[in-house]
Amino acid sequence: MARSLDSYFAFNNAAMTVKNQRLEVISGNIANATTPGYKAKDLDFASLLKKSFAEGGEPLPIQAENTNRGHLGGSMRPAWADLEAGIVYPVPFNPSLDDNTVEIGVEQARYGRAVVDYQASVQFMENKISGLRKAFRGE
Amino acid sequence: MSFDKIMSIAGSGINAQLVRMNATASNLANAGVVSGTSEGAFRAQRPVFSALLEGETAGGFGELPGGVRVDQIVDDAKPIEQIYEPSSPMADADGYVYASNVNEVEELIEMLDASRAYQNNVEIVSTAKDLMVRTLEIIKV
Repeated sequence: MARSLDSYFAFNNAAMTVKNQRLEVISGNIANATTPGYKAKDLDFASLLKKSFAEGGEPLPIQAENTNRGHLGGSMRPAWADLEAGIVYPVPFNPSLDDNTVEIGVEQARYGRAVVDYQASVQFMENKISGLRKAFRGE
Repeated sequence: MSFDKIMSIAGSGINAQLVRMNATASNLANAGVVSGTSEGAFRAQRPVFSALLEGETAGGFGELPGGVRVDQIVDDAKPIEQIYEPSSPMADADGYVYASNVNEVEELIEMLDASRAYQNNVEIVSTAKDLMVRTLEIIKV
């Protein structure tokens, strides 16, 4: 195996960092559910990914090789390098008198979803590790 | 590990809601207080929260950007009721006492709201704890 263990886990590591950050952002919303004027935030993975592809960033640890003339070049920044870029302010379904845009039901649903996403990442990580162990044992 | 960040953000929420519940308890306890002057009458206390933004935190527990803090506690602006009660030892020269402006119904609603918000934050902590344990179990695979 030419690749190091670091790069073997790099993708999962990045995914878990981003998903953890999303949990953090949503818990901030729920803590501020009764703060006047507070604007609910969310971490949008799509815009984060788009920003990661932006040019001029640091190269991604797992960089794709150009083995064919038709392959596209360009560097990619790791998604966790610039988490602020993924922050979005969702528009509330119902406006409130004190300009707070946290809707507790919506936030709870988001948090639930983020928890499942995180658990999925943990599961992938576990599968990778058990795969690695199987390879070590050589059974 | 940034799970402790989630814990302290939710912790700041728990703390803020606790202050709110304390204020409600104090308001309800003082609902029947009368005073001899309009200025001395008890006014309902209302905590005002503000979000902790990047760069304005001291960094202690529950002091992380994204959390919440109790900005100030203000007096409720509702008018004070003047009651004619000459027999009261608190009555002024004209026989008036000044009742508090606490509205019990409002306070009970405030308490319910604070309690629900508190529970939401507790749920966050408990879920984050479960995820933390689950993440630690990766090494057991």
